[in-house]
Amino acid sequence: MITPTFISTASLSSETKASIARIQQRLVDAQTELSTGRYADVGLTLGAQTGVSVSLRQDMDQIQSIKDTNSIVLTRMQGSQAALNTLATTSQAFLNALTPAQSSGSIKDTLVQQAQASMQSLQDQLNTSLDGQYLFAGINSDVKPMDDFYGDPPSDGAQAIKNAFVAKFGMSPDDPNVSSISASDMQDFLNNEFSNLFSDANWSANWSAASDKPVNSRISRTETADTSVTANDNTFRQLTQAFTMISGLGFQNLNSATQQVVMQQATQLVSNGIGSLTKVQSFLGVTQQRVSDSNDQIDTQIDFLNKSIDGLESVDTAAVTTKISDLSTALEAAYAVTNRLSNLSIMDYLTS
Amino acid sequence: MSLTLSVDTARSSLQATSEQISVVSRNIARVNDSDATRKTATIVSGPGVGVSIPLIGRTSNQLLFNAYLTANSSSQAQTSITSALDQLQNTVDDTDAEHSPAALMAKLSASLQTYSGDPQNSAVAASVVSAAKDLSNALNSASAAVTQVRQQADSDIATSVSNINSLLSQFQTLNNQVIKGTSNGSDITDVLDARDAVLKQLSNEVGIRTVTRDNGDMAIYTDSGVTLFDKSPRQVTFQQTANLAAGATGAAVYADGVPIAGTPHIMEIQSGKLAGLVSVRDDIAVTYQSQLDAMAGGLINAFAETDQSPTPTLPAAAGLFTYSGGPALPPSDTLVPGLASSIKVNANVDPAQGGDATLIRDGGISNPGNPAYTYNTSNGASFTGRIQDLISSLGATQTFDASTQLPTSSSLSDYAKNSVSWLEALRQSAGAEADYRSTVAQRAASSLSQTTGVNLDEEMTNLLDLERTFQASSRLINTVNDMLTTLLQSFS
Repeated sequence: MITPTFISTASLSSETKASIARIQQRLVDAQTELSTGRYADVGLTLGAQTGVSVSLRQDMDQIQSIKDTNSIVLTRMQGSQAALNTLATTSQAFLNALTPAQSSGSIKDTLVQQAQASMQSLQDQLNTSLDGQYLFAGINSDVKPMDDFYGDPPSDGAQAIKNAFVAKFGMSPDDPNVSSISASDMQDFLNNEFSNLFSDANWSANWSAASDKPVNSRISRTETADTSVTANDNTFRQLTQAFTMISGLGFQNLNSATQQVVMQQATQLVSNGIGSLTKVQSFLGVTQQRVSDSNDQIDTQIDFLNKSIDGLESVDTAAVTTKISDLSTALEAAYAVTNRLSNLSIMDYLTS
Repeated sequence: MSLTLSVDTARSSLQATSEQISVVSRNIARVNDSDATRKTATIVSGPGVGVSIPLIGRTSNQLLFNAYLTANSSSQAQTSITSALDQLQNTVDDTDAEHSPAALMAKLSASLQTYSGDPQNSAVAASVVSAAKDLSNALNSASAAVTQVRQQADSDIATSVSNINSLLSQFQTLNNQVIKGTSNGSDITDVLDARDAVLKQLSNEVGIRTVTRDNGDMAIYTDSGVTLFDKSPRQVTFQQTANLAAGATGAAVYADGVPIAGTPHIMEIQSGKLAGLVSVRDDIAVTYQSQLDAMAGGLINAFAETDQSPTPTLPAAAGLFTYSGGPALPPSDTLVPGLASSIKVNANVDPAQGGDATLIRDGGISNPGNPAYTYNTSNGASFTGRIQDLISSLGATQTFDASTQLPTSSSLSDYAKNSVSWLEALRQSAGAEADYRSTVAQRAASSLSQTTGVNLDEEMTNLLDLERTFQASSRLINTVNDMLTTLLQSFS
């Protein structure tokens, strides 16, 4: 009884069952895709391309963290710039006071006070801290770079000046007899013993706890940059030298010729200091520019990476919506067919 | 005496019809059994009196049946590979979830970058340690997942082997009945159905070929030609391995004393669940395991610390990441099996274990008591040199073992990325292959069923015909009876 087109009842029903299951599976996937906007199974869809997506995300993580650290670094450099600006103003004001003082005697008394205030300001600015980090301490950022010059007991620096003075002239700077010191002796002292107090070794020993090494930061994937200025920079030594020269060597009691020598020396140091302060500021400014350039670049890169990841992983929502409606129609049709097939039995037409 | 002859003929027709109806009812009873074939009762008109049914026929198609066995075996092999790959894929997860070793490496690098921006902050140092722990945990659990997959495959192989043995002994019983039935001419159609059903089940486990002999006897060979059944079942043996940790190899499967799977051999089987499971256990999972081990080795080496003395004398030692063999470094370009399962964050740097997280910045993780490994010699709180070095060395090109099927020279993060690509590419092609093979198997099953299965409508129409024949034959007998009665009455 083999007929040309034969179909068994079991295969008839199993075919419709299988096709309904297939459509349902695809419908579930399509719905996931619609809700997430990404492929239901990214790995399965992309295959070997999945690595590209992983690598894009790796890059993203990395440059995002660089951007985060850059903003910390930028804040720190802005803090440093503000401190340097204050210092520049203070130094300029001191220089402005020094120039007329050299010709007129009356201003000399206030000059000492101004020097003291400037020294105070200098150490305050160098001790600037941000979030517990001392900005001018180099890599020793957990240590306050400058000891208080006017503190009690006196700082190592103040003590060293006093000791050198006593060793040279046999009396303390506070002694009224300093008026007897000749201009040439003072010049000699300033050029040798006093200036020696600010050498690399003595500066680190007596004045500054900062490290010579500035903080180094990675500002892009390939670039690193020194992003801090340390208190050991020659600029700050020159300024300190000038301020302490006026405030720490019994200036008010010196005879006027000697005062003149000291003032000349101080003027020279302060104007040099202001000059190199500008250099330091512009060095920091250039680095700031590099960091913010790098951040701009990173923004562009993040944008690009996001687009690339989207391009790899995201689905066309419109296409998925159409697919879902197609699949729903197909599923309804399959249900209808199943229903019709199960009703379509010869049993209904056989009458006994 | 022709009237009596007519009654005899009608009676034989009644008998034949009842037998045919019984065949129809057998067909209807098994209408939804996919193993059942359609039975037919062929009527023969004898030379003497009436009709008879010498034997019950069975619709079969050996060609389609063999095609089904092959397609089914090959689909089963691929299915077990795909499901193992899906399990392995859990170690990578969705790219968006960022749980893969590759993603966690990027996170570690990012947290190092954050630390380099704020090196004084020990809380940030601790977050680097926790990123490192996430990574080592991910490698540990990925390695455990691979071992789990292999272990599962091994125990599935054991199940499959015991299935094969029990199917073969069922087959023996049925085969003997077929031989006996063939020789004495009894109805063996249902036994043949049952024997075919056993073959179908057997093809789930292993690819088979069959040879039928004249007396109905059948011999079974694997697709590679090893005898599984010939007159009597051959023993299939397999020894399950208790612990399949990285580097351990599983036992081979033997049939009739010949290795058919689990060891390179000319008689290796090509298809069936058994072949798929063995390829998972001995090939795919092992390769993935070795990739994880290579990643772990690369990590330990990237974070290694060297002697910082002016004249270095001490060997490099494991830093942030160490392993069971630490502090000595594992060889960088040859594989150390099991490294991924033993890699861990050094306790010296882990605050949770009493360590000091800032050692990441300063160096000396390998041996905090030995100043030779200290990088931050001036003890600067914002020393970033070592952190920058670590970031660079994570991105630096390393050499990897060639046996892992990935490019041997790449950066660690690229290697991890390539491993993801490898796995997903395999999954994609295996998935597509499995879809294709299962479609083929489904088509084979449905063509077999369409040709040899039962159609209810056809059986019902046959039943109508038979009913009519039965009615007609009964009517005939009745008519002859009436005629004989009339004849007898006319004599009385």
